Amino acid sequence: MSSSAAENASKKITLRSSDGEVFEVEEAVAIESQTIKHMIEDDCADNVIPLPNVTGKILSKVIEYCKRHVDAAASASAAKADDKLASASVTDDDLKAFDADFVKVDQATLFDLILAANYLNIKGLLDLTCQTVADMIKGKTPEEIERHSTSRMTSLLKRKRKSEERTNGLLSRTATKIMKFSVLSSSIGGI
Amino acid sequence: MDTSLLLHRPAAPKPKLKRPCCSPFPDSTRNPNQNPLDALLESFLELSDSSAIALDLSFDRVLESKAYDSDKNDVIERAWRLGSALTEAAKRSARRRASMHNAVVWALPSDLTIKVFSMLDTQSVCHAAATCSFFHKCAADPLCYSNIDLTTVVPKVNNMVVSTMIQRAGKVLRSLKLGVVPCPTVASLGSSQSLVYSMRNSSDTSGFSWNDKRSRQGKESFILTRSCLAPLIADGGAPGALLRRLHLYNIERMDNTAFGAAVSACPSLLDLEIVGLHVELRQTLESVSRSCPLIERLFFESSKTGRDDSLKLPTCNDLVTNCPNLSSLALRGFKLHDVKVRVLVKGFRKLKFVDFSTSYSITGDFLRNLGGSIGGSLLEVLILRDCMHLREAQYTAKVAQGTYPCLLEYLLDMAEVSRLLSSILAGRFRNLRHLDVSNREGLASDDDWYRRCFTPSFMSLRELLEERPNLCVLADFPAEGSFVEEPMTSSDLNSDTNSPSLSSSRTSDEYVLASPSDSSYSSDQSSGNEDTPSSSYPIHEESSDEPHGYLKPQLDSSGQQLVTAVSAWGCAYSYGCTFVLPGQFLEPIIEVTTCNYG
Repeated sequence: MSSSAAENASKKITLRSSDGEVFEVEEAVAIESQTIKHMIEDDCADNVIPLPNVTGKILSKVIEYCKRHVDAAASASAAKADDKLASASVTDDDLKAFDADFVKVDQATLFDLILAANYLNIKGLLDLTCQTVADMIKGKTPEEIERHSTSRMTSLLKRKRKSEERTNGLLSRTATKIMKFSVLSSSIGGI
Repeated sequence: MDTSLLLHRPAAPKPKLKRPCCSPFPDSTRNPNQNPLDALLESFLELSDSSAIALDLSFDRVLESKAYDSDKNDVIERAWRLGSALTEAAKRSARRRASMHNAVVWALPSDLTIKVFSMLDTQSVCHAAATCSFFHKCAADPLCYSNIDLTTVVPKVNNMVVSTMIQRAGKVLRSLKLGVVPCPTVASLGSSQSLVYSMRNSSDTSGFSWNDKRSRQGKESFILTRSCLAPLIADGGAPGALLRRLHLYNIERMDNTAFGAAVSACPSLLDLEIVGLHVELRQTLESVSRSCPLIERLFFESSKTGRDDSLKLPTCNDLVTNCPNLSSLALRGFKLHDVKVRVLVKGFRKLKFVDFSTSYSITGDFLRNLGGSIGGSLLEVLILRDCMHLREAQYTAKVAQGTYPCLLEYLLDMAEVSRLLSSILAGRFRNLRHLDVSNREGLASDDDWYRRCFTPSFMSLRELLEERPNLCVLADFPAEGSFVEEPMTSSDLNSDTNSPSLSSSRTSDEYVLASPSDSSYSSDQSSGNEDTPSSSYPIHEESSDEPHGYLKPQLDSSGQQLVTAVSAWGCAYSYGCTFVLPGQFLEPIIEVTTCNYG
């Protein structure tokens, strides 16, 4: 914590995923994650930071995201210093394009990314991934949402629904028969 | 007793079934220790694949086999009860299983699910809530209802829905939009088109009857009554306390009292938009000035255009005193007088955006001498579309005299353009970036208000653009013509929509197209400047079917700089003038550059 800026800049942090994969990243990239940042600040991360809740595959993606955003932030501030507004906006667009591509993954990976971003406390990634899931849900009817999550379930449910419709239909038909029957009997009885 | 009857049931119908009765599992493999009821139910459920008719007939036969009426009634009643119990059990199990399945597929815990739901619009939250019990639970969290948007195209929402959602939101409520908006894209663009919607005119209100007495209940029907905002006041005013934005559209039953009460419960209100409510301007403004000191944006569109003359001077003074943060003010369709308007424009120190479109009795005098240190100095946008009494000669003179260092846009009607342009040339309006001289009635000539022309001379336009390269000029005159711009075809222009797609295709800074005006006036056309050399412009020649009010481009003597001409539809030629759709000025104004054509 008292080390000079130069030392901090080149300091590497080692992260270990749940399945034993080890990643070495620059500190600037690692502290995108508030969780890791606090661990470093509290000085309990001497050698390797274990991340038992994140698999190697997901961790590599998260690191890619953080790295890209750290680079973009650095170039944006450099551009501002040089007063090159045009290039700053270009990197902005690039970043947006990167983000859009980043979340084009299968649903399981997306959920894993959300959980990882939540655990590692990376606000940008969490918002991005949650927004992606929200966009998937947006504008769908309940059946579609359900279908989105379930596939075999729906066919099972359909069969059950059909059988209950049949039972209901049967009961209502017999009910009308009763009505007619009782009307008839009462009219006969009346005479 | 019931069980014994049950035990007797399958004995009779089973052999009579046509379907081959062999069950997939031979009896020997059945669990001998199985509860007899379970066994029975299982074998009954294996019948479920048989046709309903067979079951029906079988039931009839059982019924007939009973001798006495009371027995028959018993059987029927039992069938009913058992059938319902079975249905309920099946439904419950299905829901439980769906939830379990969703729990497997949907890997997020409830706090993250709530976070996802908080990014959804209100309609999607409701849909998600209907899916399974886990989502239902998550969707009941207050965070999902922070921004409630219940605007619909036709009446679909009633008080119950509003009240439920506001209660769910509790003190997390930040934004509430309610009512009937005829065309959602219109509202979102903040255009100058009127959002007032009369249900009498609508042909979409299916199943809605004015004579429906039940609608007074507000329960079964789809009407928002005057007490629809009551939940804001309820619960000690907690929901309304932190509400920032309130947009109400066309709630016909709202009245002054109810509205005033609701507003009084919202002290943190920043953005208030009211369109088509039957509330009086004066009372509304008084409520606002009493209760909402932090307000920054006020947008009122009258439901009775031009007939609300209630604004009084004390009200204006109160408003100005109590609401100093107001930066955006729009009062459309009211009868406003210059004196009062002047108080408003002068008094709000932070006022940047002013819109008095479709106002009656405004003459423009209120602009006199404003724009300097007296007031109105931060004004960026001034819209005075379709103000029928706007006096032109006086007006432009006043405007020319005034100094508006920050005036970025200037939309007006009935202006004598060249005079205005000369005043701009003279150095006024240094920050003017956008000039819109659109006029539905054509431009009034210098001396005669009634003589309209649709093609004002734009002699000074060239000079103007030379001197002020950042200027954006828009002149939108109603005419039938269409203009062909290179990548755009006339069919695009004639399309009826508000063309949000056109605006979004505005990637280059070159052009933005105005949508066709809603009314086409036949005008006496003079086809533009006769003294224009026209031969050297391909673009000019393309538009051979000249729209009325078409202004030909002018070439300066060196042949270098082309000055833009404005067609009837306000389409920009690629001379480096950008035109913004009158209603779209709220979108970022694109810088204009003059370009040189060899």
